[in-house]
Amino acid sequence: MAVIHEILKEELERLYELQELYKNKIKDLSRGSVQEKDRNGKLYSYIAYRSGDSVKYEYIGKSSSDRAAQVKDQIKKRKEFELKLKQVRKDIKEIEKALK
Amino acid sequence: MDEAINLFKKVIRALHDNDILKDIIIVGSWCLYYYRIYFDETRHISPARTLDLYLMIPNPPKIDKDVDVNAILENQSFDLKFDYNTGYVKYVNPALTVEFLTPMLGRGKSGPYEIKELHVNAQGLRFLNFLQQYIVKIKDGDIEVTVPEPSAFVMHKFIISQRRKNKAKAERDIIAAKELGEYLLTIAKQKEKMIRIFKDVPEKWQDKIVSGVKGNSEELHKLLTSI
Repeated sequence: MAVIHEILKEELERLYELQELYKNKIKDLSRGSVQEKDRNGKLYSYIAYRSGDSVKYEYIGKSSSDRAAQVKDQIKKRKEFELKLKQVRKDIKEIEKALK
Repeated sequence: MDEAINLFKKVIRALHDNDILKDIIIVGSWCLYYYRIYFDETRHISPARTLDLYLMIPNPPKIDKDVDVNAILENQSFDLKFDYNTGYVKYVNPALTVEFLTPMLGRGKSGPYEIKELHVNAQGLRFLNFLQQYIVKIKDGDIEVTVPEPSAFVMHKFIISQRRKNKAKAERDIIAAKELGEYLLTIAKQKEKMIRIFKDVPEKWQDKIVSGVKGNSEELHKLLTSI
């Protein structure tokens, strides 16, 4: 059992490191989600994000622009990191419980 | 653990599909996964392993093509983690971490070894050439992997357990080596291989192996000191 205990401790350290990594990566990426609005037949992109009780919109540019593609990509990556962070936090909880 | 095994299998499959798995040796505790297959799912080999997958690139590498392993791992949902102090790179995922190692030869060098053909860098470690020298191919379904000979794995563990700064890791090395080593003694062919490999290594290494075995496995100590 001592081996399992040590493996769990090592795994916990690995997960703490990952938690920090994902938090830092998320910090560097755009938050919110991209929304498109149709104006006179042309699509324009906005970042929508929650600020207190209200939702704010920040103009990005034409949906076909490089900037819009870049922001969409960043938000997609951010969501992937958020999912990974969620998984890591869940695993940390389980291991901490097992090590008690 | 299921997620780790699934991801591990996906990584191995991706390396196989890119025809690069044949140039890589799996080392570390994931070898035990294959040893269990090799020895017909014996319960004498513990399924316990860490979530670090170590892939060894032989030194000198004999890779005849350019494969972007970096991209392969990113496609498997790994993120690159760069250590600014050491220059080493790890590929991380909540379920598994992948690291590349390579034998450190001669005077060695500080910092990572660049494996240009694979677009990765590897950490150089002493005594890994022992593992690259004695290998065995094991089939898992339609995939053939290269791992160290079980006897070499055991002797290497006994050597490195004495070099570890982390006591808990050293103890784990000894437990894994003793468990597998004593099991190998029950199989005549494996026992012969152990003797052959032991005879083959330099005397200095033999001394290190014996000193690692001493006090940890009476059976192995008896055999190795009688050679």
